[in-house]
Amino acid sequence: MKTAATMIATTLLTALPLVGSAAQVKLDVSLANPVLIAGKKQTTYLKVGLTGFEMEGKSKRTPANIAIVIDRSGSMQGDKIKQAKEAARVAISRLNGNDIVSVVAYDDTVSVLVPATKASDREAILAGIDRIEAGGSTALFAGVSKGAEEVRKFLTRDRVNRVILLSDGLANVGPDTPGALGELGSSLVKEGISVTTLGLGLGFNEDLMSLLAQRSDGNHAFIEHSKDLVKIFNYEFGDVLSVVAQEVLVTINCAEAVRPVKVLGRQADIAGQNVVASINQLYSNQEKYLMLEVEIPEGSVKKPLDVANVKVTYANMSTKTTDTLTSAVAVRFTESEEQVVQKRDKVVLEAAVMQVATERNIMATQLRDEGKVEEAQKLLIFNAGYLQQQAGELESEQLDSYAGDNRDDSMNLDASSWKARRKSMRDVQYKNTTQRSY
Amino acid sequence: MKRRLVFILGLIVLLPLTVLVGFGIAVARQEKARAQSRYEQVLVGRLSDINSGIAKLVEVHQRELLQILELPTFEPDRIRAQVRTSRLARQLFVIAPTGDLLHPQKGGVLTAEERAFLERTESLWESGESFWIPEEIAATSKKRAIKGRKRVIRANDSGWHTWFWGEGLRLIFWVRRPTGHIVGAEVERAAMMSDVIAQLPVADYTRTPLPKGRIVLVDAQSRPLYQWGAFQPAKGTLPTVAQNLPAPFTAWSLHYFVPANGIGAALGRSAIFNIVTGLSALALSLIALATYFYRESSRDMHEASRRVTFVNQVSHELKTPLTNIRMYAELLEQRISEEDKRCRSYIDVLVAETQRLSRLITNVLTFATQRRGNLKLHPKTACVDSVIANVIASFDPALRAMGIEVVLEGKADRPVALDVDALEQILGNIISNVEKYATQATTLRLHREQHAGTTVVTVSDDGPGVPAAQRDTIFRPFVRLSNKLTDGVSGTGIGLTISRRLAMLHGGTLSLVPTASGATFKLTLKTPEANA
Amino acid sequence: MKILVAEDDRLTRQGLIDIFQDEGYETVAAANGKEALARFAEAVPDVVCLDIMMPDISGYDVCREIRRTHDAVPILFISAKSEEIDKVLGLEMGADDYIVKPFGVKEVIARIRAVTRRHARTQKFGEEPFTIGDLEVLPDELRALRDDDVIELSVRDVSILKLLAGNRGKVLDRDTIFNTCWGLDYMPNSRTLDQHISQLRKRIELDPKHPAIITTVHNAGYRYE
Repeated sequence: MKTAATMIATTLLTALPLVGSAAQVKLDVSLANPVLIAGKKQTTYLKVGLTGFEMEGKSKRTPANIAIVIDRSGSMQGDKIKQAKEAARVAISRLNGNDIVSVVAYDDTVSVLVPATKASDREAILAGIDRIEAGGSTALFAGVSKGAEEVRKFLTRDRVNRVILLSDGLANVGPDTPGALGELGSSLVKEGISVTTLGLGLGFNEDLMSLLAQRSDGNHAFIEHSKDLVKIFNYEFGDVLSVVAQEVLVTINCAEAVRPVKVLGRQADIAGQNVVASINQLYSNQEKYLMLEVEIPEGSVKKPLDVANVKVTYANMSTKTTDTLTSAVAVRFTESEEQVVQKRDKVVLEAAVMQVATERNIMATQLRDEGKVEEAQKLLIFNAGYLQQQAGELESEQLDSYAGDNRDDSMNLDASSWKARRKSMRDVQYKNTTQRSY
Repeated sequence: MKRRLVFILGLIVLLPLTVLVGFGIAVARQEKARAQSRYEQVLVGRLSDINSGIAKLVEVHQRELLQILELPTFEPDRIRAQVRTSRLARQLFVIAPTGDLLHPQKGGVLTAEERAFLERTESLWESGESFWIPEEIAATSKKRAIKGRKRVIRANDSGWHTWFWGEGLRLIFWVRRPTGHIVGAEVERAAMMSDVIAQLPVADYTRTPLPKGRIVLVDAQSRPLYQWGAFQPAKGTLPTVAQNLPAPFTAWSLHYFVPANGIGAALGRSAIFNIVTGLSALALSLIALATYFYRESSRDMHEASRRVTFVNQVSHELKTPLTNIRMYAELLEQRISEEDKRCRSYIDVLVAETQRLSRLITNVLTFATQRRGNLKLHPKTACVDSVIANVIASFDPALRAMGIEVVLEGKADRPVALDVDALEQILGNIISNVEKYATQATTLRLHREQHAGTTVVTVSDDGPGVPAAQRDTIFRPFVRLSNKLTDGVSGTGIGLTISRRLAMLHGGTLSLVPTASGATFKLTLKTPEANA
Repeated sequence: MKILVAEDDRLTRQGLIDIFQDEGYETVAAANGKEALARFAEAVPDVVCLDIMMPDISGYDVCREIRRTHDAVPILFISAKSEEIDKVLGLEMGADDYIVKPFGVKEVIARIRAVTRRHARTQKFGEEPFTIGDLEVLPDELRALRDDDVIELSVRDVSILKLLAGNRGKVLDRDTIFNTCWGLDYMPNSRTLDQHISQLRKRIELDPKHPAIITTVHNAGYRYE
């Protein structure tokens, strides 16, 4: 943040003005190019970064309200269900008496094995998990609905409300399209419930699972081998247990001449000069960001241009207040190309490049889905080259690594490896767009 | 005999049983149908309970939606903010009293979601049919509506509207403001569905009054959306009962599946059990009764047949001493001098009596044989006249003693196929009757005719004859003429029966010919001429 | 002529033997099936009279056994049951005739003569017919003919007539006739002979009171003139 971006972090202390700044989300609004060439319409990226504060001691963390929804359809038989149960057991051992947990299992019907209960009632919960046996079809929508219903029983704003879905299959009873599950996610997130979807093995519908997670602002991860299940579950719980802010609403009000083009990666509403996006949860010491592509009108060297005002409201889990942060960002113009390059914000650029490259990766996935294998391959190779070049310029290991990923992707488009590759691509896409921590 | 009895007894058991089983089945069917309908009522009742739960949920949703639609202003940003926090609303819209869409405004500054909404709902706006106007009003005021765009306005009117787009049913809930503005929400279908599902019981829901069953919530295409209950119906099974969901989910319905055997089992079991038990008891008692009768009568039959067998054996045993008496009497007769008349007459009595005894025995045995159905003839070449001569000869002493003259008329001397023993027996029986009953007779006339394979022998006496009333009965077994004449005369009463039977076996008849006086028996036998 | 009488009832057996001896047959008696077979083997009779119901071996089996070696010897069955006749005939055991109990002497004689006649005919004993008075005696037929009349004769009758005819004009004393026609071992009884002659006369003489064929020589015997 050595750039000259103006940052005004005003805390409107609506409830408790005495709370220290340590318990505030850090808002960082910056442009990829704070200095642009004068006299020319250009586009650049505006990044709204939000970093969760550190919770004060473990006991003070936000209590969780979690529904673990486990697919117990026939395909889960054997090691998968065993690992799933183990993962659930391990995860539950991390909860304490303030947390609420429920366990739902579904095949073609849904069973609430452990209705929402305090996590201290460990024996009943573990007994419920033990009762899970695999067999039958996959009523995924119903399973999530029932999980959400359990969460709803103790749905309060000062808890992290989450459904963790673990499935290895396709939804085949009830609504079974990504769209329908996406809608469910959209509606749940408005209630403050996120759904994390953990896809196990190669059988699940990653579009459906990732869309459900994305719309509800939960996590999505692809777990190829059931032995990794416990680890991933643990990560997810780590996230859940480190939530510091929720219901984060980011409003970007662009200046009159500035046109908001699009938000990369995330869902956002752009209406005129206004861009509104929500981020359900912020985790302690983790940054989540919104990347907006903006079109800057012609400017003159002498006159800096205000680009946008940013307002963020969120529920502070530490203070139990709704806090508001505001910030604004402006751009300066120069005649010198050199200066533009010199002044550019490499961190923001890196993130922007990441998002652009991810969008390309998504497009490549779509091409491959349409059977356009060669086009997909070309695009991936191009993407890899683009990343490679940017990595060099920006000295970014992250970009370099993603270049390698894209190159690998391009070599795994054949039918035999596509199924698994697609899932890992979706996984990475998801990680990139939502800044998943694991 | 025995088989017939078994058949009749079987009939006695089976006939009423069949009728009753038929009746029972009918009753059971009726009972089952009644039980089924009662059962279905119970099922329908359960579905109704579920539906009323869903209806309540819809009410809650409506209230929630009404709250959402209470927008203080129609500012786009305000509306957008409302959408962001309303889980039930995917999009909101406002229609001006003029019928124009105020928000989201076509061509206005819109978010991507709003543009998508316009795309989804395009058909609603294009069709010109305003769903917020009740149909009947729409129909009557169509003209006026076109002219003056005046509408019957009712404040706080609200309603649901459904249409299909993309993945299926979509819902709109709208409310009319007093200002005439229509404020509506495109309902987040998945949220409502999720709520409905969340409200429905889980798989192992145990408070169902019925042991096994499966309730499935299906969409318009009968695809299952949600299901519960421990029963797994086979694919393609039709639901036992079904019910549509309340508005606005009328396209969906609840299907209740129960195992086929569970229907009768739940309610009809006791009735069917009663019927089956009753029928079984009846069948058992009928069978017991039939068995009792069968035992009794077969014991009787057994007893009778044992008696017959006994008589048979005794009769056979009698034959040997009888042979000896007769043989030795005859041998004695040969040795006695012609002069010793008295001695000779005694021997004649001995011989005649052995012959009579032998006839009796033969009749008894023939009767027994006939009863067993084994009576057979053994025709061989013989001459009727010589048989008659033999018979007459054997009766000669007795008839002479009674002063009866034997007159032979006609002739039957051709060699024919004849059962000599049968003919002897028949004639013996007839003549012995004369000997027994016609004590005052003076003449015994035997007329013989033979032609074309038939022999007719008419035996007539000038005795008292057979009373008219008994002419029909004398050929029946064990019938004896029970008048004074028979007093003190022994006999088994089977002689004529046997004789007639033998005549019939011989292809002929034996009958009593009605005559003015005396008794005349006409014997006809089929006697094919013996070749060569 | 020799006849085997197999009958388990002693009295019947004895009566039959008497009848047959009167007829002029030599007799062999057997009280059961086994004995019947033994006697048959020893004596080889010309005729067999066989009771069906015998305690050890039935008449059927005896018949069957005899038929194995001698298919020509005539067999007359005695039965108490008329049903058994079926078997006798049906089994085609080669029985020649049967009589059913209770039977009379005349019936027995008639049957045995018929059987013997048939047997004699087939065996062709070769006894030539001869005449005595106005009778033509046919020994093989056990018959005598007078014009169209047929007179039934017993074996003994034939032998008596043959003796007389062969000694025409001679007085034959009772011992001679006995020895010739009855056999030496027959206990002589004057009344037996006289009665037999008397019976025979009844059949062959036109006037039995004044016999023309067999005349009585007082205190000497009989003579054919």
